[in-house]
Amino acid sequence: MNRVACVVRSHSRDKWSWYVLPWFVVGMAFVINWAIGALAAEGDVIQTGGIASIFVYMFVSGCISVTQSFPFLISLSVRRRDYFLGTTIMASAVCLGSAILLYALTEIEKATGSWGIGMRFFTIPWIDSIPDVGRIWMYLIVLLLMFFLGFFISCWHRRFGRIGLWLLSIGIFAAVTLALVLTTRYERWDDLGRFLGGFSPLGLISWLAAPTALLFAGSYLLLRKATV
Amino acid sequence: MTNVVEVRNLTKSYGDFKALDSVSFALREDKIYGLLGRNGAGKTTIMHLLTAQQFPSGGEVNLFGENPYENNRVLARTCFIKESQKYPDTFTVRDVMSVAATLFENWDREYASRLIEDFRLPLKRRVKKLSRGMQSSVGIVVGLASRAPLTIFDEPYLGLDAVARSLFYEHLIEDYGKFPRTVILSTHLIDEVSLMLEHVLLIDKGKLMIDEDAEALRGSAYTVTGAAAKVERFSKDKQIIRKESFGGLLSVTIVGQSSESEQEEARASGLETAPVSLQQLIVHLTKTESSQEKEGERK
Amino acid sequence: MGVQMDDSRPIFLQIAERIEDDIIDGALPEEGQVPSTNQFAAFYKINPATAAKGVNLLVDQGILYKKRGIGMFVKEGASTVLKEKRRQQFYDQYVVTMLREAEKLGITASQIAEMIQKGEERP
Repeated sequence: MNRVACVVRSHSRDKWSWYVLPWFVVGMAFVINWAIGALAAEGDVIQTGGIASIFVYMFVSGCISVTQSFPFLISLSVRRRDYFLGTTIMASAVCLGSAILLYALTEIEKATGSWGIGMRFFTIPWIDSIPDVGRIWMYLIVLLLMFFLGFFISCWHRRFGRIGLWLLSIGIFAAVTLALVLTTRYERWDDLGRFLGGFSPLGLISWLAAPTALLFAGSYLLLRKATV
Repeated sequence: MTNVVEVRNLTKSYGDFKALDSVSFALREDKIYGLLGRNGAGKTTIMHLLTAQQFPSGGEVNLFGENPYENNRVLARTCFIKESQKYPDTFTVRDVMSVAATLFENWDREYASRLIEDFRLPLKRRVKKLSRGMQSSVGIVVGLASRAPLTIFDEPYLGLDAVARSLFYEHLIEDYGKFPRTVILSTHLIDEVSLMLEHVLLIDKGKLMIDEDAEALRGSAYTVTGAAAKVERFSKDKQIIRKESFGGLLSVTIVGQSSESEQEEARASGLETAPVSLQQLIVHLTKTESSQEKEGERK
Repeated sequence: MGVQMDDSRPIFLQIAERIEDDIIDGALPEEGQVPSTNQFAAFYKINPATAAKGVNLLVDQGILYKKRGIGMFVKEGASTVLKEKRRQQFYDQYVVTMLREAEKLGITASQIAEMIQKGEERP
């Protein structure tokens, strides 16, 4: 059997972590929010941020998958390249499925008048105006970004160890701080605001495909030299 | 015939520390090799370098004539069972077997089932929840059922009781007889496996000390005991690996090419001779340096 | 000799010796079949290749022969050949050793002869 397919199959044996748990987490958040919403005053529309949980889960999933499966599969004589492709294919498929599911849940939410109590769990006004395929695409991009962010960090840790991870954190913190300081110093916040405002939500989020692709490539380069 | 494994001047350094120092050897097809040595000698490092799970600081590794790094042709024919294998948290014994079955082309499902029964492994339980010994058994089952042309066992019996260990040896001998392959058995439990080994590779402090046919080693060493002066005279030009004095007696362990005739000579001059087992030989060889150091200190 | 092999001597020689012993005391009759190398390996917990080396040694010495597709068999006359070989070993192993020990203890050759006579007459 093609070894990339073997890796995908190996991942898919872990149904709990990939399919069940993320939606279980979302489900719990939903139930809690609904219970609170049901007790609130009639007529109010509540916007919860519960939908964020699926995106956070994807990030965590990216972090954990390398720790869980990389030592195991490499020890069984799987190539790093096959591991990388198999894992990213699995993750992408799960992200796509999740994106479609999110879309479906959003539609149901709209149809039931926000679940009968005016609670907006899945819908986000800013995004709602975009037609269906565009919305699925946006969910997909953000989910992939979150996964590969976690995945990249995990690969970095695998390659450079704890100290390397520490240095990375410091580096990112420094870079972000520097960017904020410079933007403030040169009073470019207005320019930034106008620049970003010029994009449609769809366009803006599509740009996130670029860092996602970079994280994807970077992860591979890191794994190539990772040891078990 | 290509060598199954070929290693040339293999070196691995961690900063100043040399885990492996210019090690070279070649392994042939269908033989059981013993990779022996004390804890920390460098055995595990060698095995990780062979399977491209770690990278050498110098020298080269060839498996089946090719570089193993990212090489499926070669890696798919190798099965490396480690001392402490890591498994995904949620994986059951059945999951592990299922994944292994897809990765090793010679995997024998029926043989795996028989082994699982023999080692009493609970198929549906998570591997992480098993005892240390059972976890080792999982590794052993995978290593045996893979029938990989190059199978490597690194101290595979952590936590295994004597019965299970014996079971492992029995199965290894039986299956190796029916389906010959190249096996590398790395261990510090020499006496239990010594009868199975065909060839011995002894690593000490990162260097290859012995690369020899096991049968040639057995019987190549002997101990001579007797009056100190007589023993000194007898052992003057010989390779001594151990010296021990007790009262007026001196006991010396010698490694010799024609040990049978040398022993006859010793007995003829009134000295006592005793055979030295493979295990004892290796213990003496790897203890030598440290005891010599001690002698130097005493002076 | 027990089931456990002696790790201080080449094992293939020990396998050959045990087969020889069995032939000499009749446990393995002439034209009888010898266990397979895998059977030896399983019984003594040794490497099958080592067992094969021991068997092949005896084939080279004309003690055993191979029947294609069936296995190894004891050659006719093997028992006699082996007994003769053991005679020389008997001298080296037992007689010379005895004489050396006797020298140490100051026992003369004629005293040894008396002892042998006594030993013959033991119940």
